[in-house]
Amino acid sequence: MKQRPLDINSNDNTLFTTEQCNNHCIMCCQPPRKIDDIDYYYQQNIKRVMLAPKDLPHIALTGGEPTLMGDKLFSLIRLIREQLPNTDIHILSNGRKFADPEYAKQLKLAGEGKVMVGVPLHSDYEKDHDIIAGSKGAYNETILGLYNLAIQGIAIELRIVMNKLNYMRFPQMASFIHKNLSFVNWTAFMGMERVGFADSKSEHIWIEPIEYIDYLCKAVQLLDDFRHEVVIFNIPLCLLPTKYHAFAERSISDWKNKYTDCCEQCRLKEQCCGFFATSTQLYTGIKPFN
Amino acid sequence: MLNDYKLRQTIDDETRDIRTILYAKAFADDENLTLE
Amino acid sequence: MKYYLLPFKFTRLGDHEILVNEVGDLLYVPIGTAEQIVNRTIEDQELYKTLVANFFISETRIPALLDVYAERLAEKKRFLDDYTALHIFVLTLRCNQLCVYCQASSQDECVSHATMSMESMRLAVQHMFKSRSKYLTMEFQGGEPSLEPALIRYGIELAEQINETEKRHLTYVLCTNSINLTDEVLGICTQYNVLISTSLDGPSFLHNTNRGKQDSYERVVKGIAKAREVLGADRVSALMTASELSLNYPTEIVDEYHKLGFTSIFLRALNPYGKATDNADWEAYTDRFIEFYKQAFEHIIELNKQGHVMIEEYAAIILRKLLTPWCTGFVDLQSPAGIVNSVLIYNYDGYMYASDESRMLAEEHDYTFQIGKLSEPYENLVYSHKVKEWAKVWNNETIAGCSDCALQAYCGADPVRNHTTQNDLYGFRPTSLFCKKNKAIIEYIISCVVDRNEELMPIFRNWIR
Repeated sequence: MKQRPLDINSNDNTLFTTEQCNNHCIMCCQPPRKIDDIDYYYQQNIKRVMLAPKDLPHIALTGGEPTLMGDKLFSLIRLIREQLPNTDIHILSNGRKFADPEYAKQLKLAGEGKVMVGVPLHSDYEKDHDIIAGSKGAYNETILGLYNLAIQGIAIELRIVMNKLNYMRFPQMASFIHKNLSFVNWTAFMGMERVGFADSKSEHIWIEPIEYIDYLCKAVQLLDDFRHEVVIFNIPLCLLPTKYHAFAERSISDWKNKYTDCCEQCRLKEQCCGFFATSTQLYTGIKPFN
Repeated sequence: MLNDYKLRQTIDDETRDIRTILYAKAFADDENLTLE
Repeated sequence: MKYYLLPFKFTRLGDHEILVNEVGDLLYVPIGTAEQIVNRTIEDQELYKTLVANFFISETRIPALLDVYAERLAEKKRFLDDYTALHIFVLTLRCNQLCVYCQASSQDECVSHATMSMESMRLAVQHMFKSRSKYLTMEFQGGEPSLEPALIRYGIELAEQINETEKRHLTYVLCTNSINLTDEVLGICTQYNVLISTSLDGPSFLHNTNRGKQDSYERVVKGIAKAREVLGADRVSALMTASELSLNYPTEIVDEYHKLGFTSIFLRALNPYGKATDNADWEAYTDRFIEFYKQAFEHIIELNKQGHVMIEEYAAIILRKLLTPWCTGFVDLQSPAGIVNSVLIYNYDGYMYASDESRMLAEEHDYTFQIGKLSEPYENLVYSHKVKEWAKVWNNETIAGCSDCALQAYCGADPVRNHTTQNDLYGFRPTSLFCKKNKAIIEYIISCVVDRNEELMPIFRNWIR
């Protein structure tokens, strides 16, 4: 796949590392392929890093699953640290490889404190998480991975992609995070992009935000009560009770962000994340604030 | 009352081993406790 | 369905059941759930998932995340890693009040032989630094410690000097009735950042009756104002003790604290020691105290709803144990017990004691919890045969009546209290008033959280730090 050029004015600068993944999340917007592409992207990314603007604020490593690069991940990170010393590095990973404490330690050494790992959690219950992740054993490795990252003092973002199979347990997940994962830097509840499997298998996966907003707000309230950082991504403000607007972020990558006609009359348009241009349909229930 | 007593007895019997392992892992000095 | 049990406790609370796992996570469930779990007849699928996720049951014989659970358990007992953090120096029995419930059996202001010698202070400070805790609190008590400024200064300066190499985090606290806060005393407090903990029982009629002197309240209020002015309001806190008379005035006491600008109150019961044991029926007192607590608590909630800050400290501790994964250091309610593990007393008589109550027993010639002479080596004192005997009974996980109690994780063990009230270190839970009081209040707070969650969590969230 062709990578977009790194642009200082973009809110989304990524290094795509591989199309392979050891999970097969049912709602994945980048469904994995079995292809030996790690070296290909590795060489490409080295060039991209060398040519990147020096004052790039963040750079994300995505895929597929970046940790499938093995030790090359650390070489790439060390290069970024050398070439872009002021740039924060965000790795999107299922976290499973960090169940190996040595791998987590290596990340700590390579990252020099500038790395954050974004890890999806689909459920507090092992079997539900594994079903959504499409891989048996995913949950246990992910949780152990989170612990090893925490032991190394690496910053962690927990990502909860909200879908039909997990929405009823948002409050239980919040309680679980509070009790067992309180070391994470923040938890992001993310509205789905209606693309890839989320669209083609929608009757199994898709759910409209208005159906889960109550569960979401309960979960957010619980985490906030105990002073955990929590954010809501990709949910437009008209679908959220006013009390929870403060948790919503302008989260959508600029190159795939859009607003619709009725947004023009909305007084909250500037603060709102709007929609995914890539989604095949908009969420139901949207309306402007007058 | 008898039912509660029996329940507690059963829980105690079934969990005695795992409880020992749990406390050993939590408080033993040796960091490398593994189970065979 | 096939699964394995993990250790958990249960009990009835109102018309629900509560289940509590080994780290104190609580689940509020329909009556009969514990039986369903044991019989493998759980019908509620979402409840089943919650039980697995929260370590009540496991789908494998050894849970895959056992290390995570073990880490959680270790965290709950993290206070043990630091060993003794609270060091109480009882400087003198001299006092200038005659409190009805005084546990210190205070003598007259002018009696001098009941005062700590400089040599004892020197030995005591050295013992303090033998604890490996990064945080050391040096707390001065009495009688009335502000009557001995020279001793306070000597003790603090010695600690500061030793700390130049030790580099611990030192906190100083002066427990005073605030009546004798001279410029000299306040000067020491300013110089060394000493916190003031004072006693305020409630409105003037109550405070004066409790203290046995008619102008006590006025002088305390003046003392508090002076201390606040010189040291800052955040350096001055107050404690109340509920005498038998106090039990009639729950709302008045809370209002008094609010009126004087305090943002927290600790609703403390009397301990059955010292002059307090002259009081009438302890059973009746306990029952009345429980009622008093609830009434005062509801009034505190009302104040909070009106937008005022008023935290009840005992509830805040229980809430922290109940609702968070964090360790809680509160010496009166922990297992292993606070005695020696978290607190040590250096008494004016030149001896080391296990707790505040322990040295009060000595005033009644009961030396059960006297550890030994300050002149002895630290190791001989703290690892003595006596202390080892207490260690056999200072865990509520292993004593009858506590070992299967659903509230175990939130409660504690107190061999000193058992000895004092039941003449038995081990204690007998069915008639223990310590148990009765703690159970009633902990259950009350749990009910507040589960039955009135939406109403009270917005308030409670600010109490948990």
